[in-house]
Amino acid sequence: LAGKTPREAVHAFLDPLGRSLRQFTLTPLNVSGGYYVAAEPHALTLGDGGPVTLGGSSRLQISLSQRYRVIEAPEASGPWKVTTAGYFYAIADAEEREIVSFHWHPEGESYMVTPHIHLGPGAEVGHRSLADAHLPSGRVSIEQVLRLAVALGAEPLLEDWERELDRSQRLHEEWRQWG
Amino acid sequence: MTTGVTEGTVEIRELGTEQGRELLDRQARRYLGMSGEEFIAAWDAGEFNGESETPEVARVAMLLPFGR
Repeated sequence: LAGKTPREAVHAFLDPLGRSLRQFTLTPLNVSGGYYVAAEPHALTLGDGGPVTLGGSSRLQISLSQRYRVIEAPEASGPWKVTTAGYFYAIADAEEREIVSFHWHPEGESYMVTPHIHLGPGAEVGHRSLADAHLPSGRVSIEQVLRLAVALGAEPLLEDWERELDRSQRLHEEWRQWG
Repeated sequence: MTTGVTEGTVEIRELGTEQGRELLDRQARRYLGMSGEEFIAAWDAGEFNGESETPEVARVAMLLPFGR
């Protein structure tokens, strides 16, 4: 996920993600013009930021948004790389009831600035406190959320989905700084 | 808007300023019942203190760079 220029580094970041998403959808990935170094993070989102229906009879809906920064990384093969600066991922049922969502907003106004999970109405959790809780988690990748969607009933569009997700996840783990 | 399409990937679209604002506006109206401009103003004024953890606010706030 490094590059000789900021733009090249962003492409190295987005291209594996685009291939992973293609295994599940034809919906475009929108980027907030973020191919340069900036004080504020850039953003990307699947589609228009709302839920996207996945394949399979369960008709699960997925929402995927991330923030990222382009940073100098002298130790990398770059010297530029992209680092994730936050995310919002959600899986909902066909009626748009959120089953589970993954939040990380270290720069927001929340008291909870570390990665965490919420169980929504679609999870039908009987324990009221658990349904309202912030469940601590490690950092979660889009590839991991796509795998979870499959476990919950989504059907990939392409046969090679596991190989693509493995490849993209390896790159993610190779370059991430923590998590 | 510029687009990047290669075989085996979804289309990756670099949204312009106006398209980004429209995207934020659509989701702010859908999830919070306010315009994108109103959301940015309220966010910058700290009006979501204590509420930024609701899924609706967290979802729209993640899209803020599209509207700036």
